[in-house]
Amino acid sequence: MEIWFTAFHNVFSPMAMLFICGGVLMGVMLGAIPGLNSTMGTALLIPFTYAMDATTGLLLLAAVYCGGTFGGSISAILFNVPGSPEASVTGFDGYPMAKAGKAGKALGIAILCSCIGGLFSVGIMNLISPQLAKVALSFSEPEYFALAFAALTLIASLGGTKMTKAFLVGFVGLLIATIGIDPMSGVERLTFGWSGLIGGVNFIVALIGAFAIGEILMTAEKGSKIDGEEEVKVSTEFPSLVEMLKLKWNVLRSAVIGTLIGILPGVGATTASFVGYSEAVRWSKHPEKFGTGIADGIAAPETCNNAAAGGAMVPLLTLGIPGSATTAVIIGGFMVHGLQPGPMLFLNQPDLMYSIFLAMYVSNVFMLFAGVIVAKLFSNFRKIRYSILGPCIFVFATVGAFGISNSMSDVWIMFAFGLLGYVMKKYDYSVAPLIIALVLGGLAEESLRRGMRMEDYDLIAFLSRPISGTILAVALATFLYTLYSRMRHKPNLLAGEMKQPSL
Amino acid sequence: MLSVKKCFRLSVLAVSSFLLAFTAQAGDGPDGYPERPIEVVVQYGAGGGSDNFVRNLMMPAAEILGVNINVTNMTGGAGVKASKYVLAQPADGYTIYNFSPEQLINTVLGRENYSEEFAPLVQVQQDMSMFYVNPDNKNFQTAEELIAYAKANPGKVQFTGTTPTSPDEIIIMRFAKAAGIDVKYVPFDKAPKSHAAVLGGHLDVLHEEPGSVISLIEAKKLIPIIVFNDKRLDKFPEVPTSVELGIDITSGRWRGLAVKKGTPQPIVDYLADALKKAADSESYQKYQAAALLDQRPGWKGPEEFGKFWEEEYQANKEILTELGYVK
Repeated sequence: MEIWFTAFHNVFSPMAMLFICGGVLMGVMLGAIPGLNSTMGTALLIPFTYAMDATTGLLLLAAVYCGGTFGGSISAILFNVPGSPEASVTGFDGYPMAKAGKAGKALGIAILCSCIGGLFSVGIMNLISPQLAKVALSFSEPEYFALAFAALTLIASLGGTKMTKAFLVGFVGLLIATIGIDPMSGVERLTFGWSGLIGGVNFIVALIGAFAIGEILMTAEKGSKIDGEEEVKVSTEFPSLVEMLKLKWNVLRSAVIGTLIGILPGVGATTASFVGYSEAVRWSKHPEKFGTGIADGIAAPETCNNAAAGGAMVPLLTLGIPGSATTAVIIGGFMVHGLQPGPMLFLNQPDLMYSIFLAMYVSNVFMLFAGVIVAKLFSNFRKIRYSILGPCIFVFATVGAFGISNSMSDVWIMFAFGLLGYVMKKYDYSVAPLIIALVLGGLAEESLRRGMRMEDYDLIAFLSRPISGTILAVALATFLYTLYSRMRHKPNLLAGEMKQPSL
Repeated sequence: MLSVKKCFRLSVLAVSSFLLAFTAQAGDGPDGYPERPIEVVVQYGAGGGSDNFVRNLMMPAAEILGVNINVTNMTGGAGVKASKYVLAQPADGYTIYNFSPEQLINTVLGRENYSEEFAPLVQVQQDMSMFYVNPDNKNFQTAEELIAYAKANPGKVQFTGTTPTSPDEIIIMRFAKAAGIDVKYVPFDKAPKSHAAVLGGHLDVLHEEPGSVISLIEAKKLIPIIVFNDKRLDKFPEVPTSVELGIDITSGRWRGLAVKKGTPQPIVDYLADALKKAADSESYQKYQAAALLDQRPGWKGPEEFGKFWEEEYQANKEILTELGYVK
């Protein structure tokens, strides 16, 4: 109890509150602007925290981290350009919803679910951090593979396009995911001698291209018609209690999935949001509606990614192992103060730990306000006519692609995916399976091959382990069920046309 | 009252002094270098050993040089991406590269050509390799037990480290060869994942420099079993050295900086001098001690560092050929 008093004292001092609120606001802004993200923001802030005392500095970093994880969804919903990788999935349903004139509602769901997801994971972390760390360590390569595989099988259930087309696009995505240096042998694959491909295709570059550039080209082709459709006023509209109650199982499941994936070392909020979305599709009564702009499609990834942000702090604080890219940077924030995050710090300085927990609670609540403020700011851009806004998004997309690793070759890759996205939209191929395959393909391949090497190339080992076996069995069963029900009840889904707007 | 003329004169003076203060902010190096911010490119992710090294060194260096220093992380492709980026910038001393052993290995593998591309600046650190096991590992808890177990169970012991054909893999394979054992290497793309794999008991032996796992060692979650050095460490006096065990390997990861080839020599010398001062600064020394990076003399000037590259390149070439990566 005494520890909590110290933590309260640390967090609710005027100075610390100023830093926490300012940090969340800054994080949301950084997240919302494509090309800037919370990883970069925390890295830039570390030299400044050197001048503060350790607690205040770390509270600031934690606040920026929480805010940044949410921020990206604002630009994903409003412009179909995710401001940060964590928000990639949010655009799948967020943008169609905004296009249908419900941008304010989409933002409201995103903000509220982010807050709930964040609070849930901090609560869990606060209560059972050391136990959670044990769960994280019990996951090995077969489990990672099972997770990625389960999410990949959901490509079949994604709505908005014919199943055969979704599969085709998914396989192309998996192939593109193999570009670059082989993770196990170090051999170059499919680079065609071009150094721009040696590091592989960054999925966020592909995503910005396929979604944002593809969309701009498509709109340009349609001509000025779009100007009439623009809604002028966007104000954040929080969902009502009834609406939230409809989402309750989805939100709860996503919060659990997000926290669990967050605590796994090296798999962060981005993967979590993809898995959360896939699971929402799997357990939904109307999986075919995902991708057309439904509340479930926003609630799942947004709850998940913020829950994962909290989860990623667990291995960092208990083991000194970062669960994500941003938490890796936050280690630097500890080190400039001569602190080494890990089991010893948890024992020696519990007040610092509890202050960080408390700051994350406060940050997630303050996010409700910061989210509304920044969303309002960004929605002003929607008042601009598309003939002007389109080129602006084009510039933002280019800067965003360049900013990921300061490399021009990423910009060319993005344009290539822009053309691909345009062609796909034109011929009614959904882009979402491509992105899902790109994100999870690398994880699936690596963990399969590493696991095979560890188990002496014995595939049975993947099925006989309890966790991976269960996940694989459920994935396979739902996959077969989807195939069966689609062919039986709606044979046209497999073969015929579907009259639904594509993603 | 000031006359209009006087006013004008005063404002011209004010504006010009302002301009002088901000634009003609010439450094005290050759030809006024540096006069604008310097970029340092790191080919590894933020928060890792190399990133920490660069950031901690550049904080005092920025004060000494009198300009801002921006650290850019450019990961992927075993550092090839970052190397290409540095080579695309002019050779004017405004882009510094965290030159690592990977660049030499990449040259052996034909992905880069270090001797044509980069000019050595300084080496700052000479880190050490150590192996660690999980305290719950029932098969072995010391290096001798590990060797005995591996001899009885060829190919069963699983080592882990970061990325394939990396300095980690090279040290592990050299150790296996010297000890006469046959082991398996399971690489991860990010160091934290390899730590977790050993902590979780999924893999047997972790290769890592002590600085990044020190908290785990202190908490007895990782047990160090060997240090690749010629004398035992004060911090871990119970851990035997490779030399004691009759394994003549003491190499470890070194960290240093380079610039694009063709950068004027006066700038190289000036930078080397400034970096020396930065490395001697109090804040850097504090970091170095905390991360156990002060165990071996690591400093090398430009010329010495360049010679060292040549030796290391030859050594890596031989090892990689022996290990079968190069035909």
